[in-house]
Amino acid sequence: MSISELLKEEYIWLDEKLDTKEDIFHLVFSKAYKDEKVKDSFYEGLINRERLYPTGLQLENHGVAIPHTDILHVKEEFIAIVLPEKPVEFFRMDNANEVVLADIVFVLAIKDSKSHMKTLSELMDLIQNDSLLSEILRSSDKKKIIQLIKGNEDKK
Amino acid sequence: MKKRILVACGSGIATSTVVTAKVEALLAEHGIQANVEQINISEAKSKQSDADLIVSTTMLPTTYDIPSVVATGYLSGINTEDIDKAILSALKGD
Repeated sequence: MSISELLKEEYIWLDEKLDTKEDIFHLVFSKAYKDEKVKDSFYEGLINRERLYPTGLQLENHGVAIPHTDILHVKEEFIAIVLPEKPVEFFRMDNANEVVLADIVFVLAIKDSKSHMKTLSELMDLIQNDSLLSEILRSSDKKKIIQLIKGNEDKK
Repeated sequence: MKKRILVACGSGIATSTVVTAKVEALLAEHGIQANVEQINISEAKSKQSDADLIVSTTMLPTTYDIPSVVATGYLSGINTEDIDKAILSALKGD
């Protein structure tokens, strides 16, 4: 399954005024819980996972975070994209003592990794594609962001 | 003898899936026969006794008796050649 199949406009947030990762988790959780895509434990699941095993990645020009939870908190899969107005602090996946300022956050609500090999490797391709990531960050249009991601998938 | 490699991340589901594929491709490219098992990092301690190498996307919570490589760079795309080298050298035992 491609990222674009798990991505909906209503799960993309642009220029949101969010100060902390908890704000981001709360934003995504509130929507997903209302849509019955996650259990009420999803928010705590994100917090706990991030505390134990942080998900911030320092790239050459950007900071990215890919928070996710244990699969039991997820009812229906989705990927959310949050572009905070100002970068938000996450801890680094490879060094939990160091901070990365994430300017783009992908919240992954996934139930089964086997069927998502393609999704996850596409996501890593996207993260490693600096010009595409920059274009997404500059974009103020949700449709455009989905098109950019889809365009990248179609090249494969 | 066939090598046994544990690929770990925090959940054993998301980032280890991507890194497992990378490791398998690297081994195939170098003609190394191995079983690659995807695990949750908290399982690494108990599973290390019959494995040759731990490859992890997260910081290692403890030390292990077998070699370990932190491979977060496979996700960010930074220093991937160094990770390739570290994995290959750990498996060759030099």
